[in-house]
Amino acid sequence: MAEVAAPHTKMRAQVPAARWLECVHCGLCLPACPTYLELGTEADSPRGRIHLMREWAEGRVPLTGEVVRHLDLCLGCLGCEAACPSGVRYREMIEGARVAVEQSYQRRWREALLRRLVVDLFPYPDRLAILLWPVRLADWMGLGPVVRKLPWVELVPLPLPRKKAAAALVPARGARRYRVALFRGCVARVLFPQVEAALVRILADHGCEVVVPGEQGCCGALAAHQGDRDRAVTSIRAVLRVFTEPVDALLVTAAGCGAFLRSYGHWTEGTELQERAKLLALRVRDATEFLSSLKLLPPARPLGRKVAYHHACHLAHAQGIRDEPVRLLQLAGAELVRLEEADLCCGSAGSYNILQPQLAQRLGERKARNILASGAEVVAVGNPGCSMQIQAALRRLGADIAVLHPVEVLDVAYRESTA
Amino acid sequence: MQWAHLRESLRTVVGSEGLIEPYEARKVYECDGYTLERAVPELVVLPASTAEMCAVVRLLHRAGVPFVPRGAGTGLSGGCLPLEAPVMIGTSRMRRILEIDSLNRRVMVEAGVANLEVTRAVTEFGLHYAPDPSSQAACSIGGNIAENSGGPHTLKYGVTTNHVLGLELVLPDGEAVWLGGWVDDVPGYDLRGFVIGSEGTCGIVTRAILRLLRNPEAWQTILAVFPSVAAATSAVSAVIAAGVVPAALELMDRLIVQAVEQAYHFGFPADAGAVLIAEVDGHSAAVQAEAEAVKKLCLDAGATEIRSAATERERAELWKSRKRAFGAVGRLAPNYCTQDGVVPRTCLPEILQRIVAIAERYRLRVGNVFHAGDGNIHPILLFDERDPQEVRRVLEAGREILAACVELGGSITGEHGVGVEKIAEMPLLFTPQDLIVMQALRQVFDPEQRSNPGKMFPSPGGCVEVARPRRQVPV
Amino acid sequence: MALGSADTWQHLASRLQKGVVCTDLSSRQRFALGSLLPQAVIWPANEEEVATTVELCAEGGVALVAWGAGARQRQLPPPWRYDVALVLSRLNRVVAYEPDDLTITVESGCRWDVLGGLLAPRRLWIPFDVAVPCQSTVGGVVASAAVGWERAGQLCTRDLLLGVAWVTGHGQLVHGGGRVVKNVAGYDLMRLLAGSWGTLGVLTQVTWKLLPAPQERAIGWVGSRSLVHALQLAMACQEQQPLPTSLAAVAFSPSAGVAEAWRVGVVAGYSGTPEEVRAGKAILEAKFGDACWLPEADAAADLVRHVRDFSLVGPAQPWAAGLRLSLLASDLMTCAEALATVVDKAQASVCIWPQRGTVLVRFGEQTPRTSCLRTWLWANEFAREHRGWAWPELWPERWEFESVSLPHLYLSRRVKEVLDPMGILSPGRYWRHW
Repeated sequence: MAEVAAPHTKMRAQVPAARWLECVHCGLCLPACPTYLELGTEADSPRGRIHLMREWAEGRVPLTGEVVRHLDLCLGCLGCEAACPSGVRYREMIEGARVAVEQSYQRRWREALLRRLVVDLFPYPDRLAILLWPVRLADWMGLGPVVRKLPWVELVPLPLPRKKAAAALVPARGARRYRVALFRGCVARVLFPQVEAALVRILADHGCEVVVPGEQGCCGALAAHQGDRDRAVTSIRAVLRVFTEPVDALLVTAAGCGAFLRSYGHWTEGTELQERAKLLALRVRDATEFLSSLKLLPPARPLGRKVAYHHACHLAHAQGIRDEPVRLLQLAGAELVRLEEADLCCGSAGSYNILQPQLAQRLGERKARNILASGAEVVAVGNPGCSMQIQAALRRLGADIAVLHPVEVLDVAYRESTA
Repeated sequence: MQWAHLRESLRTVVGSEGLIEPYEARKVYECDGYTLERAVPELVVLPASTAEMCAVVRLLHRAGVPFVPRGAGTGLSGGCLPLEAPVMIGTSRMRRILEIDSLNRRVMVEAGVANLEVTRAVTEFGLHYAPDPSSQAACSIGGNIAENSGGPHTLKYGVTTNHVLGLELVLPDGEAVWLGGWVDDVPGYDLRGFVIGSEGTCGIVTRAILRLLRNPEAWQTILAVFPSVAAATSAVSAVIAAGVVPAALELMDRLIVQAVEQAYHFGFPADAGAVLIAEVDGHSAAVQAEAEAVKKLCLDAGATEIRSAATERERAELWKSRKRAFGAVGRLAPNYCTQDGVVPRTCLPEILQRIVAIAERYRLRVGNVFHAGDGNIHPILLFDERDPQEVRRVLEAGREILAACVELGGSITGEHGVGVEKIAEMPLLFTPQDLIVMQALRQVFDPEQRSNPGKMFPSPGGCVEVARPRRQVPV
Repeated sequence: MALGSADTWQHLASRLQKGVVCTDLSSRQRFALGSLLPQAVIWPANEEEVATTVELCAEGGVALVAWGAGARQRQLPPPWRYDVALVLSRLNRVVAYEPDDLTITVESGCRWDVLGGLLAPRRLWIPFDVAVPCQSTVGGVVASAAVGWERAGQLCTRDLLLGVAWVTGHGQLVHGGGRVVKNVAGYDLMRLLAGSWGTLGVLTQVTWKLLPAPQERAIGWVGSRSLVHALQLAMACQEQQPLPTSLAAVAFSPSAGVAEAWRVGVVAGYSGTPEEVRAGKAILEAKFGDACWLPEADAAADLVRHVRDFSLVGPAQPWAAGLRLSLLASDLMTCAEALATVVDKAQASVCIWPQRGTVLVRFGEQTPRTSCLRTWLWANEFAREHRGWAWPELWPERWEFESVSLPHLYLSRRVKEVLDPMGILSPGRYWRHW
C-alpha cells in the first residue's frame, strides 16, 4: 500500500516512461531558458528539470523542497520546446510534474495560502474588481504613482480602466463575412478592457459579427499551471457549457488563455468532455492571427511611431504565432525596431510574478533594459500578463514607454487616420 | 570539518547563488551530452568573474581538492564528468561580451558566452565567428576552447584554435595568465595553442579574444541526392580533386535520410541512398562558377537530384535537413550514441563499409551523418538504454569503429575530444612514449593533476595501463 | 664521458653510420654561428640516428644546434654553448604523399622549393610563401613558425601542421597529431613546437595540410612618395571585394641599394579563380590607373621576391639588425607615421603587411647601433601601448622577450625543462639563460 502512495509513482502516472527518453541531453534548450540565462544553474534549465523529473519519476531522487523549488521556478514559457531538435514534449512533462507535486507534496502554509489565493481570486473578475477597489481609491486620491511602488500593486496598470459591460452581440458593419465569438479572459477583461474594445471595433468595421457570451469565466490555465487538475477541468467544463453557439472562430486577446484553450483536448483526456473540448480547441484563434488572415486595409495614414514587438511566450512558443502580430504592426505603419531577446520571457508567466517575485523582477528588468536599448516609443505585447509585467518593470526603471496590444496599436492607427 | 570550512570559504567568494549544495541540484550535473557514464559532483561552484574564479581555484588549491571545469555541458565525450574530482566549477554565470573591436575584427568574451551569441553580437558589423559546432546555440566559448571544437564550416575556415587569438587561463593554483593577445603573432612558445584542445587539464579558461571573419560576399548551397553513399563519396573526392574548397561538405546516409524524411518531409526520394550538402562561398565572381562545377561533378558521380539555394531562406531550408538530423534520429530509437572518428578522406568508402559490417556483427542499427570534406565521420549507433546488453554492444562497436579509423590512418576524435569516452583508445594512436611526454607537459600547468583529473590519459601518473574499467551504466 | 672530448665523437661515430660525424675544420667552419665553431658536425641519416645522437649528447651534456639549410640561423643570436651541429639535410624523404587527401608527410630536412615542386603537378600547395625557399627546409620553417603574406597572411605554419615527429632533449622519438586534416586527440604539440626555434626538440617529420593552388595570380606595383602614403594606398585596396590575397607597403632606405622605381610603394596580389583575379586587376586599374604596374612572368616573380625575402636576411639584403611588430590593423597608420621619421634618421627599411598587422623594420650595416637601439625601445613601447608586441629579429646581441609576461615566461621555462632537462638544445638562443 505504501508503495502505491510513494510520490514517484504519482509522477509515473503523469508522464509515460518513454517520454523521458526523447530527451537526448544535448543542451540546445539552455539558451532558450530565461531562468538558466539568469541563474546559470543546470537544475533551473529545461534539460536539468527534465533530468530531475525523470530521476524523481524513476525513484532515484526523492521529492524534496529542493526539487519542488526548481520545478516551481520554471516559467512554463516553452522557449525550450521551440529550441528542441528532438521534439521533446516539455509542456506535458512539467504540467504532469506540477499535478504530481500538488498530489504528493505538502507546501509550507504561506506558500500554500498564496497559491490558494491566486486560484481563488484572479479567475473571478468580480472578486478581482473588489480587490482593486483600494487601488482605485488611491488613484482617485492622486496617489496612483505612490501605491504603484508596492509589490503586487505595481503590476496594476495606471490609470486603472473603468469597468465596462460588454455588449452580448456586436453586429457587423456592412455585409457580414464572419461570425466570431470573443473569449474575454478573466484578468484581461478587468485590467485591459480597451483591448477588447479595440478588437471589437476593428472586427465590426471589417464585416465580422462578434458574439460575447456573458456568463464566461476562467479558461482554467491558472489552476492548471499550478498543478490543480480538478479545478482546471471544472473551468473547462464551464467554458464548454458557455461556448456552444456555432461561430467561425473563437477569438482570444490573451495569449495565455489562447494557448490553454488549444490544449483542452490534452487536459480532458479520458473524460466525457474530450470530444467537445477538441472541437472547441480547433476553433481557437488568437486575435492577431485572425485579423491578419482578414486581409485588412492599411490605415490611411501610417502610424509612424517606433514600435518594438515582444514575443509573448504563449503566442510564440506555445502557439507558434510569431509573424502575424508583426504583420499587423507593419500594416498599421509602425516603424518596427529590433528588440534584443524579443522572444525571451518577461517573467510574467501567468501568476509567476506573484509566486516567484524575485526572479520575475530580474527577468522583467532584463526585458525593460532591452526595450530601452531598442529605442522604441511603444512596446507591442500580445498578452495581458506580459503587459502588466513590462509596464511595472519600465516604471521601475523610470521609463515612459507605452505598452499596448498589437490590436490596440492597429486600432490607434485606424482612429488617428480617420480623426 | 575541513570540507565544511572549504564550503563556507567558497560561499563567501561566490555567494549562495553561486554555490550549489543540495544533492538534487547537484544531481543534474552528473553528465553532459555523453550520458553513458555518470558521476555526481560533491559541490558545484559558479563564479561570476575572473576574480571570483581565481579565488575559488586558490581555495581549492590550498585544500588540495581536484576540480572539473564545465561550460554548457554539451560535450559528447564526457569531458566534464566529475570522476576523480569532488568539485565542479561552471562558467555559466560568466556570460558577458566584454569588448567588440569591429574595425580589427576582434571580440573579447567571457568563457561562458555561447558560441552563437558571439556571432549574434557582431552581425550588425557584417562579421561572424567561424567555428560552428552543431550545438553552437548552447555550447560555450570556454568549452569550445577546451575541446578545440569544429563544425560543418571548418573545412574551409579551420577549427577553434585558428580563431582564438588570446585567452586568460586560471592555473590550478589560482593564478590567472594571459596567453596570446589581440594580434596575430606573439613572441615566445605558443602556449595558447597548447591550451586549446587540452580538455580542461591545464586549468580553466575565463576570457578569450576571438578573431571574427567578414561574412562572405556571396554563397551558394547545393543539396544533391545520390542513390548510394559510394556515389556520394566519389562526388566528394571529385570536388576536392577539382581544386574547389567548399565552405562545407556534409553527407547523410540512407538511414538518416529516411529518418529526416519521415520526421520533416523534405521530399527526398524513397530510394535515396545519401544526401550531400555542399556550400561554396567567397567573391561573387567565383562562387557562381564553383557552384556550377560542384553541381556538374555531383551529376557526373550519379546524383539523381540537385537543389540549390542562394537566398538566406532557401539556404536555411536546405541546412534544416542536416541540422535536424540528430533530432530526427532521436525519434528512431530511444537512445543513440554519436561516435567521432576521422579517416583520410579517400578512405571514406572503406570505413563506411567497415561500419556496416561492425554494426551487423553487433546487431545494431547505425546511421552516418558526417563532415565528408574533413573525413570526420559521426556514426550514430541506435540503442535502448533499458537493455544493458545492447548498451554494452554499442560501447564495443564504437570502440571497434575507432580502431578501424586508426587502422586506416585516421584518428579517434575529430572534434568531440577524448574525455572519458575514448581514453581506452588513446594508446591506439600514441606510443607510451608520446603519452608520457604529453602528461609531463600537462604537469607544467597542473603539477598535482588537480584540474579535470582522469581525462584524456589512460590513468594518472604517467603509466599507460589502459584497462580502466568502465563505470556501470545506469539503467 | 668528458664533455666534448675526442672520446665523445668516437663513441658517437661508433653508434652511427660511417661518415656521419665530421670533426674536420672545414666542415665545422661551414656551421659557424657568430664567433662559435662546433666541435663536430653530424649528418644523421634517419630518425633513429637523430634520436641516438641527441640521447648521447644529453648523457654528456653536449650542446647541439639543429641545422636545416641555414637561412634562419641568423634570425637569432648564437647560442652560449655550441658543441655539435646536427644537420638534417639527409632527412629529406617524402614519407607519405596523399594528394587526394590533401596531406603530405615529409622529413624535416626536405627543402621547401623541392616540396613545392613536388606538389605543383597536382596543383596543390602549402598556402603560404616562405622567404628564400631554396635556402629553407621544412624543419626550419616549422622551427621559426614562418609566416607569409600570401592568403592575406591568414594561414601560416601553425595553422597548417597536422602532425609532427620529433626527438626530445632526452633523445626520445615522440609524435604529436596525426595525418588527417581534423584531429583533436591529445595535446596540440604541433603549435608548441612551431616557433620554438629548436629549443624543445629536433624535428624529424612533419605532416602538412595542403590546399588547391590558385588557378591564376596577378601582382601589381604602385610606386609612392612615402611609407605613410604607401600604406594609405594599401588600405584603399582593401575597400573593395575581392580583397587582395597579398598586400604589402614597402619603403627601402636609399642606402639599401634598391632601384629607385621600386623603393617605396605598394605590392598587391590577387590569386584564385580567373574571375577573381580579373576582378582584382580591374580594381587596381580603376583605382590607380597608370600609376599601377602589372608585371608578368619573371618581372612578377622579382616583385614577389622583393617583398617576400624582406623578412629574412638573404644574400641581396644584408641587414645587420631588425625588429618585428605585430599590431592591430587600425594602429598601423599611427605606427607608420611615427616610423617615417625613425626610418629617415636610422636609414631603416620598412615593410608592412596590413592584413596580418605585421611591421618589419630592417637596419643596414651603416646604421649606428644607438639608432637601432632607440628604434627598438620606441617600438617596444608603441606595441605595448597598442595591444601589440614587438620583438627583435636579426639582432646581433643576446636579448630577452621583455614583452612576455612573467607567468608566461615561467610556464615557458617549465616546458623547456620538461622537454630538454639537460639544456642541450640551442642553449641560450631563445631564452637568455636556458
